[in-house]
Parts: sequence; C-alpha cells; structure tokens
Amino acid sequence: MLHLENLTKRFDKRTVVDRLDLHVSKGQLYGFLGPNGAGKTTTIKMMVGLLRPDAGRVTINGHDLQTEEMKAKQSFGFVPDQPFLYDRLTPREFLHFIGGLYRMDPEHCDRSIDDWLGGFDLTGWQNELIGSFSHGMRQKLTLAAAFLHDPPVLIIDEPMVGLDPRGAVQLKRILRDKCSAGLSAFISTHSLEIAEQLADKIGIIHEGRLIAEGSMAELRGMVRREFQHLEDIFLELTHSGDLNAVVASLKES
Amino acid sequence: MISTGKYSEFRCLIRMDLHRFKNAITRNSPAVLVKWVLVFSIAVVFIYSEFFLARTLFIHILKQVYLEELRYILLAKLLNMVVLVFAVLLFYSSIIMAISSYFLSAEIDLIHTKPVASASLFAYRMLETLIRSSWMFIAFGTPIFWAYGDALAHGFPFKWLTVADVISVAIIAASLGIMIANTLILFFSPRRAQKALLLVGIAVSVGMVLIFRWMRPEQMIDPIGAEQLTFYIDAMRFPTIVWMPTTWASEALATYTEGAMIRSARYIGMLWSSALIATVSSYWLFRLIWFRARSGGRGSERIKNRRVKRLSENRFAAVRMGFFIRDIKLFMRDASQWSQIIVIAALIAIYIFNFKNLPYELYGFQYSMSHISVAASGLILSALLARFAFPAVSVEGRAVWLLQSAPIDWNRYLWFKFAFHFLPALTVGLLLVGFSIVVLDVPKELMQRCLAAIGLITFGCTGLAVGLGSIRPRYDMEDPARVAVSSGGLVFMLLSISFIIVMVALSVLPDVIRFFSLYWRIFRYWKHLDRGLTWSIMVCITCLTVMLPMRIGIHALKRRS
Repeated sequence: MLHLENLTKRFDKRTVVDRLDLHVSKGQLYGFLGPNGAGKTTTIKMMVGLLRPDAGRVTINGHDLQTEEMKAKQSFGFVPDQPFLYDRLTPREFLHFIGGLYRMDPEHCDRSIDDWLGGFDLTGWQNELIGSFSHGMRQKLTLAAAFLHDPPVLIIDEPMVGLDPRGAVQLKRILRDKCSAGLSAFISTHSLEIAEQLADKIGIIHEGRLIAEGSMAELRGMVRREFQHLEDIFLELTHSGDLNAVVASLKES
Repeated sequence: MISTGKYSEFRCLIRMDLHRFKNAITRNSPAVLVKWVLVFSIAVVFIYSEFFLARTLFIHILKQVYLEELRYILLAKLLNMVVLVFAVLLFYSSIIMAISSYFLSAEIDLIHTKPVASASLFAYRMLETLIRSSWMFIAFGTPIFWAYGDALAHGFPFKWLTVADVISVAIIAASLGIMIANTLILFFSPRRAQKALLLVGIAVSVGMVLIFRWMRPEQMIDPIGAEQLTFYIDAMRFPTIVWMPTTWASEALATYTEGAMIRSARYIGMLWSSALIATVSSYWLFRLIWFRARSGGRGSERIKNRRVKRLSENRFAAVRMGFFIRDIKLFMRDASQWSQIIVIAALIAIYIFNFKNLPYELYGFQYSMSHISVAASGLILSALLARFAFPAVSVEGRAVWLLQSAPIDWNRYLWFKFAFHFLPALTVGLLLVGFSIVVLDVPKELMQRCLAAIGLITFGCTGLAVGLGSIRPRYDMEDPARVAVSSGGLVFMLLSISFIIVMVALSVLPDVIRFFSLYWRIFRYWKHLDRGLTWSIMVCITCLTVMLPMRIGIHALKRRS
C-alpha cells in the first residue's frame, strides 16, 4: 500500500535521508522511530508530497507520487506534527472544506463529518470557531480531517500530541479497528510506548538511514539478550548507550 | 455550508475564504465591529479628501497653463508619474507577498498535501498575492485617476476605464512578482527567502531612482523662456519609456480625455493582453520550478556574534539593555527589515535629488518649500514608523508568552520601544529637513522653526505608532510588513498624516494671517496671533498624540498579561 524506494534527500551538502527503502502492507500499522534530527519529518514530507526527493520514489496505493500526484494524494490522509487550521472556521466548515478538496459527495461528506466529530467528542463544539480550541481539540480535528475521506493509507507525524488519556485511548482503538479493516497506517512518533503497543512493524531511522526494521520480536533478536523493552532496543541501536547510564544514575539518586 | 461535490478545488478554496471572512464579521464582539466601521469610515473620508485634493490640483494646473496642448501634456506627465510611483511600490509589494503566499504561508502545506491541481493552487495563491499587494494601490490610486477624469469633465465611462486600467496593472505586477519570487527562492531556499528580499530591495531602489531621473519631474515647474518652448513640448510630449505597461496605463487615460478613444482602447488592449501573457508565463514558471524551489536547501544559518555578544556578556549591560540588545540582534538577523530600509533610503534619495533641482529663485519659494519639506519629511517618517515602530510589539510574535509570563514592567517596556524607534526616526527627520533648509538657504529663525517642527512631528508620530501598535498587537503575523498594512496600520497612517497636516498648518498659521491682514480687514484682528501661542498649541497636541495612545497601549498590554 505504501512503498518507499531508495528515497534520498540532501540539504546543501548534508544527506538527511539516505537511500531509504520501506514497505507498509495492507492493514499494517508501521511505527517509525528515530532520535531528534534523524530524518523522520523529512521522510514524511517526501511521502506526502511536501518535499521533492533528490532520488527514489514514493508509491501510495499503487500510484507514484510524482507521476500520478492527484491519485496518490487522494489515497492518503495526513496528520502533520504542527497542523495548520483555520482559526476563523468552525470544525464543521473546516471538514466540509477538506471534503471539497477530496471531491467527496456532499451527502457522504455530511455523514462522515457527523461520524468523525462524534468519534472524537467534538459534536458539541462543531459550531464554535477553531481559534478557541485547545491543543488537544485541534489535534482531534486534524485527525478527523485525515480520516474524513476514508483513505486506504494514513500517515501521522506524532499522533498523541496534546491528546488527553481519553482521546489517546479513542485514537488507539480507532487505529486498531481501521487497520483490522484494511487501513495501512504509518506513524512517526517519539513515544516508544505507542509504537510498542500499536505497531505491527517498527522501523528505526538514524542519521537518515533505516538501521533496523521488523516486529518487536525481530527487533529483540537484533540486540543483546538483556534488552527486552523497545526503549532499551532503541537506545542500543541508535548508539545512545551512554544514556542508559544517565537514566540509571538518575534512578539511583 | 461549503458545498463539496460539484465544485473544483479553486471554488472550494475561495468559498472557504469567504466563510472565514463572514465569520470574522459575524462572530466578533461588537467592539471589533465598531473598530472596522470606524476604520472604514476614516478610510472613506481620507479617500474622498484625496480625491478632492487631487481634483483641485488638476483644475489648478488647467487654469494656470494657457496653452491648450501644453496643459494636457503636463497633466499626462503628472499622471504618468503617479502611475509609475504606484506601480513600482506595487511591484515590490507583489514580490514580498508572493514569497509569503507561495513559500512561507503555513496554509500552503495543508493544501499541498491534498489532491489539489497545480492550476487551482497557483490561481488561489495568485489571487491572494494580487489582493494583498494591490488593495492599497487600488483604494488610494483610483481616486487620483478619477479626480483626473473629473477635472477634465469625464463621467462614468472614464471611471470604468480607470478600473480596467488599474486592475490590469495590478495583475501584471502580481504575475511578475510571482515569477521573481519563484526564481529567487530557487537560489535561496525558503528559509533564506527573506535574504532574497534584500537583493530585490536594492534592485527596486536603484530602479526607482533611475526611473525618476528619466522622468525628470522638475521639468514640470521649470520656468522656461519662449525659445525653449518648442524643445520643452517635444521633451514632454512623448512618454519617457514607451514599452512600460505603466506608460500604457497612463496613456490609456490621457488619450481618452483627449477624445482619442481608439488609441485609448488600444492601450487598454495592450495592458490586458500583457496581463494575460504575464499570468500564463508565471503559471508556466510556477509549474516548472515552484516545487523544486520549495524543496530546496534548508540548512541552518550560522550567526556571527561579535560585539553584541560581548556586550550581552557584561552583566550590567545585559540587565539594563536586555531588550535593546535583543531587538538589535533580531533586526540585524532579519534581512527583510534592512531590505525595506533600502527602499525607504531610495525614496529619500529621490526626495533629495528632486529637491536639489527645484527653482529656488521663484518668489516666496524658499518659505513655502521649507514648510513643504517639513511635511514631506513627516510623511517619509510616518511611512518608516508604520513599517518599523507600529509592529514593534507585534514582532514579539509567538514568543510573547515569554514576556507575558515574566515580571515585566509594561510601562517601561513600551517606553523603551518608543525610545528605540524615536532616536533613529529623529535622526532621519532632522537630516531630511536639515538638508532641505541648507539647500534652500533660509534665514536662521525659519531654520530653527522647521527643525523644531520636525522634532515635534517625529515625537508625536513615534508615540502614535508605538501606542496604536500595542493596543491590538498581531502576534499571529510573522511578517512585520503585513502588520504595517493591517487595519491598525491604516488607522495609524491616516492619523499620522492628519497630525502632520495640523502641525504644519499651525506652524505657518501666524505668517499666513499676517500676510492676509495686508489685504483683508478680517485678518487684521488676528494678526497679533502670537507664534508662542500656536507653538504652545502644537506642543500640547504633540503631547496628547504621544500620551494618549501610549497610555491606552500600556493599559492593553497590562490587561493581556
């Protein structure tokens, strides 16, 4: 469903994403991890068409993002890490606008808006201006906008930002249900807990390269035996072993 | 409700904008609506006054010049100058707005990840660039052209011709702006986009100075002898640069007033076909390079810290001058700020060039020109302050929470902002007026009065700018240039222009009364109106102009924090 092939991006002389190959199958939830500055956001920007790769290609639902841009974009929903919303629109107006960009049938769009506003507890706020929303409510609305046209692929950069525990549980449940129904989700996150709980497959990017990929069991097999949790595996693979010592000393004190 | 099925993405985007506009009007508090009504009313009054003044000037020229042909040529020349000034500013503003609309806007990421055709994206952003860059040109330029038609007794058809004329120029400027913005970003990268503006600023400034020298505006008031008349008419008859759309725009209006309808229609045709070609070309270039330019280098920028850093390491300086050092650093690192200073420097250069070429030997010229120089310098200062002092609080931007959560004395903060902008503004004002009065060689007493007047004007305008700008700061606007052209910026410009007019009128009032008392009896009762009295009134008005907005501003900042 989502396929990255030899994806490369350079800024000036620095290679930020280096020959990245990655595949997300139908119904799979892919957790994308990496330390700050590893190239996660740049990868996502190339996946959604915000940046042009210097080499390689992105295929979404069988459509090449460069040659079949419209069809590829029609096939995914996207939640950026810092979403832009129109403060002077209401959630319902905003979702209608998004539906219009995806050329949704008006009746289907209306039904879908009702469903997603309800799904994220926003029905009571549907006629308020977005400008008055909290961080978490804005994130819920961005998620609703990404799910609105029922895309086969979902790309999320930091899904839980600002969400309260109830919102986080709602989202996890929605993601699980949707993936069971065939949605392919690509989630970039710093939360190892989320990745460990939700992801069928985890990829770790470091200095622009995919250094490890597989299920939790496969990742455990790549590191020393004492590392059982994703946190330890992540630190080991990204050569942040010294952090373990820091964490240990903090715990002791 | 926004319909979703049958409409293209472009219509969808426009409908969304209309919704935002409607919500901005209907969902705001009554106080905001009152503010908008007030701004609109002030703008209408100002535009009507501008129309009236321009009409008076045009009629005056028609009465003063007795040769039928010459007066039309003079008017056409004047018209050409007005169109050119507006067009150059419009062009520069279009480049800034195009960079903002196509590259820096946060909205562009949202739209670009959706299945929106490139033609729709281009058209939507072009419309935004067009409206944002040209609304001021259309609002304040059109009345001057209407006044021109009115003075020459042309009715409604001329007004429609003017609208077609103005809009075509705006489209050409926007299209060129988009092309230049795309090309610049291809070489500079979006993050360094503002640095590209520095080059644009220099290019536009040089262009403005050159074009003004080609136009030779001093010819319009040069006293000429009979033997020079033929040469003079020949020099004035033909537009200086025949291939410029601005020339076609002014010629379309001028030839219409002369009854040459076909020539006028031909110019309008040339303008609209150029607008079409420019739009298609900019779309073609957009398709070719926009995405590549947008995906360009985003390397971090290294900053060299030299003296300023050392100064901040001095603990006393850091405490006392914290704001000063920070503001200087931010200013020095934002190339868009200096690029606009360069444009303003070009305006000043044009002012100085033209001032040097004026005919000083005319009777009463020195006296009137010295006061006109005070008014003109005041206007330049007010443009400067609108751009730099008015957004002084808004530039805190999203980092304002730092100040709002810190134990800040807002009173001192705002007065610091006042001092930070007053001193450079005063230097520019004194230099401009000082230059003018040295060139005019006026008596010492008049010199002192002019310098005192510009001092008071600078003081008043700075207070007005900083104070008004802090009442409703626009922390959401990343570009200070946008703050300057917001509704608040417009109110500041209108109020500061009114303040300058009142101040200059008061400074010449005693002399005017003395002069007229020689001819009209009624003025004899007022002729002893003392300069001391008018200057006291001027000082009082200035203090009021500073204190009132500053106090309201401080109160607003305290309330917000």
